[in-house]
Amino acid sequence: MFSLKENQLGTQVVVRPHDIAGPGFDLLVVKPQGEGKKYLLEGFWSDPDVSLDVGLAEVVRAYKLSRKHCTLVLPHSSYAHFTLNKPNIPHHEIRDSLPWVAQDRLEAMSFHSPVLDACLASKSLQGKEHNKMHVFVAEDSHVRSCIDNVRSAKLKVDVVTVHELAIAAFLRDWSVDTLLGYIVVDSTHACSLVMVLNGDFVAYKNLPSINLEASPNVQQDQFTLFWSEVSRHFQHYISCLEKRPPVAFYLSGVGAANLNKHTLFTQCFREKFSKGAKLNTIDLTQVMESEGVDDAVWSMIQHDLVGGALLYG
Amino acid sequence: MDDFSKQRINFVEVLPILYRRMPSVPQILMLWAIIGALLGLQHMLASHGYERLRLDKDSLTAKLNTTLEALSGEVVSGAQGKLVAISDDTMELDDVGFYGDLLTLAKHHSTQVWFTRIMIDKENEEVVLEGDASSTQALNNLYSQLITLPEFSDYGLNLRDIKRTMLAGEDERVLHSFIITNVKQYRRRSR
Repeated sequence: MFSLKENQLGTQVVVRPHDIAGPGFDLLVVKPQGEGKKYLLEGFWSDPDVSLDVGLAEVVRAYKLSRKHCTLVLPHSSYAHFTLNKPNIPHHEIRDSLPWVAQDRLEAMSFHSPVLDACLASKSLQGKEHNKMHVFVAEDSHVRSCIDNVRSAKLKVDVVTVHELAIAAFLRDWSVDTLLGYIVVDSTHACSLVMVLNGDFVAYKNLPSINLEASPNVQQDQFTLFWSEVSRHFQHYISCLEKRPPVAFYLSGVGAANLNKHTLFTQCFREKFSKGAKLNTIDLTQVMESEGVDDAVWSMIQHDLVGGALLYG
Repeated sequence: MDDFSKQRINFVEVLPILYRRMPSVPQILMLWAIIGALLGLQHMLASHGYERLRLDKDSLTAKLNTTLEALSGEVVSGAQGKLVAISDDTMELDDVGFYGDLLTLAKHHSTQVWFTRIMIDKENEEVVLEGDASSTQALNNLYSQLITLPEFSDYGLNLRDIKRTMLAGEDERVLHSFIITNVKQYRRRSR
C-alpha cells in the first residue's frame, strides 16, 4: 500500500511537545526499511507531565539517540494558522515578504516577535480557494526555546514543522484522489478537522466539542451539529474542486475511541453523508512493523509524529 | 527553502542562520585560528611600515583638493591644478597626510607649478606628481628648493622632467613631471 522512499538519514527521530512552553512531550524513533516496506518502530516515549527541557535528555540517553537528526512537530496550540491570497511575486521571495503580506493579520494577533513561514495551498482548489497560501505564525522566542531544549538533549533539529503538514504527510497515501477528513478528538473532547487531498493540506477547522456525559437528546443534537459543521466545510471545499472526489474520515485522538463505540455518533454521520463516505480509524500497523510491539503502544502514538517522520523521508 | 511549490514549512529555516548551521567545535577553533593568523599578520605588517589605508580614487581626490584649497585660500580650479585624476582605482596609500605635506611644501616654494595628477608606481614605490609648470625653469626652481628641505634631503628626491607637448586648442602646452623616490622610508619616518 505504501511506497516510502528510504530515508538517507537512516533512523528518524520525531519530537512533539504537547505544549510548546509547558509539560508533556512525545518522542518517536522509526527506521525506514526501503521502498515498499513498512517502517520499523525503534522506540516510542510519551510523558504528559514532564517538559522537554527536563525529560528529553534522559530519553535520548536511554535510547542512545545522541546526535541523531530530528524533526520537531509543533502542536496546533503553539502557533496561529490562516490563509491568504498568494502574493504575485516570485516564489523564492514569498517567505521574505511574509511579514508585510500578513501585516494586517499580524496586527490583530498578540505576537510579540512573530516568526512566519508559509506554503502553497493545494493546487487542486479552484474558485474561492484558488491561489491561496497557508501562513503559520509562532512566537519566535517559544520556537527558539523549544529548539534549544531539543538541542541541549543532544539531538540535531533539522526541521520544525506543524501539526497540519505532518498529518497531511502521514495521510498522503490514503488521500490519493480522496478528500480526507482527519478528526482529532482530544481528552477534553475538543475536536478539530484537518482536510487532506492527494497528500496536500487543504484546510484546518475547529469543530464543536462533544460532551459524552450529556443526555441522549442533547447528544443527538450535538452529534447532528458536529456532522453538519463537518459537512458544511466539506461542501465548501468540494465546490472548489473540478471533480467531486470520494470522501473519507479518520477519527483520532484520545477521545476518539469513546466516540467510535457510540452508535448515535455513527448514525448521525450516516444521515449527513452518503453511503460512499467512510468513517474509519487508522491502523498504524499498515505502515509500521508490528512484530514485538505491544498493542497498547499503537493507540498512544499520535499520527502527526509518524507524519513528521514521513514528511521529509 | 526556495522550493515554495512543495507543501512544507520549516521554522528552523526562517530563523537566523545561527539556528540553521551551528558551527561545530573544530569549525569554531579553525575560525579563531584564521582570525588570530590575520591579526598577527596585520600586526607584523604594521610594525614594518606596511600599514595602509585603503582609499578610493574619489575620496582621495576630494581630500587632496581640500588640501590644495586650504593652502591657496581659494577654490582651486582645474586650470590651477585641481586634481583631476588619480591613476589607480584601487590605490592603497599609507597616509594621505604624506601627500598633503608634499603639496604644502610645493605650494610654499613655488607658485608656478600646479599638480594635476598623482600616479603611484607600486612596484618601485615611487610617486609621480604630474602637473603643469609654466616652464622647465619653474620646475627646476621648485626641485632645487624641495631637495634642500630636511624632509626630503636624506631620502632622495629625484626630478625627472618629462616634457610633453600637448595641443590645447591652438596653443602648445608643455607638461612636466617629477618623481620622488624612497617613499617607503619617508613613510616610516613620518610615522
